[in-house]
Amino acid sequence: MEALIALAIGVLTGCGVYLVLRAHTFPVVLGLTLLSYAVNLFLFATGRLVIGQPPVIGSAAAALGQLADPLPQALVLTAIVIGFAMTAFVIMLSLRARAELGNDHVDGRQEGGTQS
Amino acid sequence: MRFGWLLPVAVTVAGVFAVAYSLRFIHDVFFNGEPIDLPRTPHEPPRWMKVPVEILVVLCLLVGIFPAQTVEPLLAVAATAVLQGPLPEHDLALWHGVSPALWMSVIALAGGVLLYLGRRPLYALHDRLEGRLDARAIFERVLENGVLRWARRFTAAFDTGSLQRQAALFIVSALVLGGSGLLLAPAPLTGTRPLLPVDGVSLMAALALVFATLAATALHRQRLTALILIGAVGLVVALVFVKFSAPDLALTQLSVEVVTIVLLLLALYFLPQTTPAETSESRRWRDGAMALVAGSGAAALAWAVLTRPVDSIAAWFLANSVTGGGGRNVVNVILVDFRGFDTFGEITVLAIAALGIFALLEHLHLPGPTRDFHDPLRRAWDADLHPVIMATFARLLLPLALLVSAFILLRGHNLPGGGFIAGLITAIALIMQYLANGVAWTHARLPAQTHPLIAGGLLLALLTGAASWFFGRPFLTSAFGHVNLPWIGQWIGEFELASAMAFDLGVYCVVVGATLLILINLGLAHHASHPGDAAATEVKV
Amino acid sequence: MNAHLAIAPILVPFLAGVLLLTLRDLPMPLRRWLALFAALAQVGIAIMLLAAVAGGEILVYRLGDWPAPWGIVLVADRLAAWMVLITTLLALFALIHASDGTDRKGRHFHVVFQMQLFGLAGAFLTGDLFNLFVFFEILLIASYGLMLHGGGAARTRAGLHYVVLNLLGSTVFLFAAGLIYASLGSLNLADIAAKAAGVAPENLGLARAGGLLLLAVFALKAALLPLHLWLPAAYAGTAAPVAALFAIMSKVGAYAILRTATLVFGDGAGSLARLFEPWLLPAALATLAAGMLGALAATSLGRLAAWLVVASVGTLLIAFALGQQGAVGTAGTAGIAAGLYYLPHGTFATALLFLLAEALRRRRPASADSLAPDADMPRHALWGGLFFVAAVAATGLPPLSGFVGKFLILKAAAEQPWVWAVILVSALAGVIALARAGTRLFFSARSADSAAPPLPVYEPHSAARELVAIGGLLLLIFALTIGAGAVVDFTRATALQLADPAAYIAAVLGLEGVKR
Repeated sequence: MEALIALAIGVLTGCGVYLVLRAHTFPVVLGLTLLSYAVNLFLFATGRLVIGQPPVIGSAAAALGQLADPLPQALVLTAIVIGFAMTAFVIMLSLRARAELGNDHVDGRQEGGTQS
Repeated sequence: MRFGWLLPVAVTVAGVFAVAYSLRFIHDVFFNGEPIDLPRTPHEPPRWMKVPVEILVVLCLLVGIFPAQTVEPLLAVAATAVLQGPLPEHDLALWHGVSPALWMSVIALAGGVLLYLGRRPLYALHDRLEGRLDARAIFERVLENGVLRWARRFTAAFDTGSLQRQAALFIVSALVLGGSGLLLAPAPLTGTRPLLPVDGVSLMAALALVFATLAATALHRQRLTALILIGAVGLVVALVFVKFSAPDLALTQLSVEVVTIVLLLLALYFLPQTTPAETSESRRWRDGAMALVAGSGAAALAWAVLTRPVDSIAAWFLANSVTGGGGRNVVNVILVDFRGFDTFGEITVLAIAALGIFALLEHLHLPGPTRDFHDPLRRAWDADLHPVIMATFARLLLPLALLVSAFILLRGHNLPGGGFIAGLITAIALIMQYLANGVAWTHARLPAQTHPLIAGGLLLALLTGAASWFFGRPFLTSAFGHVNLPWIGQWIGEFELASAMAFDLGVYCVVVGATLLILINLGLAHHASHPGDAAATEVKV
Repeated sequence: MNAHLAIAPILVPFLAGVLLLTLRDLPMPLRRWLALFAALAQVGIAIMLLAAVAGGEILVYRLGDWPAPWGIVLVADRLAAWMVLITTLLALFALIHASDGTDRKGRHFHVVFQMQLFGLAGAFLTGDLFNLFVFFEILLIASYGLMLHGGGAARTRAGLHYVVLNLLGSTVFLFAAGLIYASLGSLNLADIAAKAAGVAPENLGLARAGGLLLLAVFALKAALLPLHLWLPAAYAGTAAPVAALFAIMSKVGAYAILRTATLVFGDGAGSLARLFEPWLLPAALATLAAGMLGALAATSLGRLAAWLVVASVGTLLIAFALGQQGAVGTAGTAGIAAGLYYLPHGTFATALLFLLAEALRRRRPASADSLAPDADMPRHALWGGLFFVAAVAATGLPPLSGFVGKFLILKAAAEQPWVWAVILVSALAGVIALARAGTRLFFSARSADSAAPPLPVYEPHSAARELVAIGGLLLLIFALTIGAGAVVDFTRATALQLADPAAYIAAVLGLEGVKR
């Protein structure tokens, strides 16, 4: 199971990095979204994987030691919401850039340049 | 100090020249006969033009003859400020007896006189070099053609204003730094923690995630397809949280996912539907290599973390959640109590983002497609603006959704839920009204501005936090108790009331306000750009 | 009051921001007064905080009354109080300048400005790694808002780059925080520091990777070579008072590097000790050189000032890197002390240049702040004189504080010819760049036989607020110069406190010996 999660984090990171390096705003935003999935999963993984023991006291779980680590979960929740705010901002900024620069290239260039 | 002799020599040489030019000045002005080649006839200056000169002369004489009484204190202050310590032994005086300094003066005087006597060859040299050795021209040439051109070339070579280059530099730096940290370590990558067995469903989910991510990357130029695939990836991530004991995260991920995808769809409406093939083959290979290294690095780190035993501060939170925080859902208690300050900051981020977006979209005319527009893929717009079934259904669903969000808000302290999730559910339910019924219909029934909601939420969080001051406790100290209301208590029984709930209510308000502000203003921006075509936004979504 | 002194610099701007948001329909002058009052109050609080910690006390504020390392703590030591004071002073004058019309060019300027101060104060005062991430995000999202304030194509393009790069930076920050938590099991900086020395060998690689990823993020914020390319376009492109405030933003990265390098990866960290050392000095030297080359190549005063920000971060991190070398108590603390003296100087001097560039833009309609001759401005001599003083400050010539700062750094770098060479040559380059700029801007008025008739010169309604802001920053630089002895005594004490983090750790974790 651990290998699957590591694989998922790796693929999400790699694809995110590739998309972030594209030259137009929309793929860059998609890449940032993938990267935020990757880092949220990674942060979550620092609490290690536990099945069926949500950190809610008094539920079915018996001893406290078996419950999932609640701290990384709280951190990921914070990170998800901050990531949402940032993603929303960059989406709107890309719309503004399209309107002000006339195209959706990240450097505001006209299409056709292939070198960079 | 190997070069300690350099300074005295330089001073002496400078002295030689000073004596020489002073001699020339005195000799030529006063003792070398009548002046020649004057552009105008000189006359005696008025009294007040001479006074400053006379003051300076007096000062020079005083400083020269009585240095210890005049400049010494000033010099001492300045030198102390620079040295930041006690001054070295020194003594300023006109006459120190026969010392090296005296010999330096003698050499300077004698040298200066000799130099002045031999001035004619020097003048001749100057005449010969005139025009060929113009110091100013040399300086300008060295500066403009040498230093500045080189600086410009260097700067322009690095600073091309390309985001891709900057992003690549940062990614490479992070990979080099992180890699150097990991690779120089002595221990093997795999730790000793026992692994969980793989089951079929998880394997399928993981494969789906990997496939959807790779497909989204491969097909990223077809934007709508890539977006749908990314939505699928987000859903699988939520499933991961469900599977591994994180119901709060799953709910948050799910609701954030919905809002993000709606936002991206709205944005895509204003952007080109496809990405042109802009990058060269070699660049794609280069980026692919970087992606490969970054991906394997992240996977290796995750693998190393997951296979190591835990040793963290987590147990304390589980042990203190009920007794200290008054809640059984430990994640929520951490969010609103143990680490409530993080949440305090996080709702601020959301609020500022909403305000920033509000400012960004103001007066913005988005060049969106018009009603009779056909995109490059020749997809026609749906003629039915607001399908009746969807509109009716959305209206019916609204009270139910609000009820659910209130329920989730209240139970958050003890069961999965809380202010964030509740806020996002409320926001989604309200956005549904916009999507199904159009801006005009919804706008007439909802307050146009969500600023008061955001400000109120932030203020509520601040006041809840500051309330603990009146009990002599630090900011955000929580209190909770069991309340039994006299009248309705017989129906709902005793229930728990924690100050953290007020804080969570503040979170709820900010989330609803910020999310609505963002999405509604995007819709309005389109409305402003296409006054007669108000509802097209919703059609597309 | 003193019980809550450590959180006051964070909550006052927050309250001011929320109030300004609530009262957003008030007339602009009233909102300006409210913002100005808040800024003044913050300066007062910062002075009180500095007075409270100047003797070596470390104030620990336990949020929610939870014990460390589980709850979040704010920690006010000399360094944190110093950074807060510099920020509030800079913010006061930036705000006065912004009240001259910049704040009318878009929505919510004053709200976002206060929130920016909220984020900055929190970043300096927090003692928790993840909370530091949260405050970084606050100051970043606020800076996006401020940077894009007013709009325009160049600003939008530079803003897009700035935002995307910082989102990448935030991602790496989270990876780093996760690695630190996974390997050392804590998020509280003091607790991490206490655990760093005893890190299990099998976790060493993860901890090192986490620490170095943190360095990558902080270097991006500080604009350290090769991660400096976002800064010139962003700072030169934004509104002048915002750029002036941003002069402290890159120092946040430098602060974070110094804090983690001394507290977490200091000499007591066992196999994690001096993790940043091999990377910091070369990068800082290269940054200074690149900054000065950029300043030489600049074609406008705004851009020149932006490159000087890069150079000043380079100088600062050279000083901090010297603190990483050498034995504790001698050369190391001398470097850090010199850097902490240079920090406010570099910040104020570059802020001053941004404001002067704006003065040119307002008074030279044709050539703006580009380094080209133009007709004389109204009060030409006054602006020329102000530029001259600012240039002397920015280049580190005597008699102003920049000279003292650079002198102290050179003294701390004894026996290191490379450091001497880079600092001295780049100082010369700075003199050339600013002298050339001054000559072009103020001494070569357009010749009379020029073909184009001079454009009508525009004098803004009143230069009072501009002059107050510029004069205030100049006064701060004079104060740094005249009070150099006292300030250096303070920064020396600060460096000594940083060199021995045991007191910090003990104060946060509630162990014995809280007071040094």
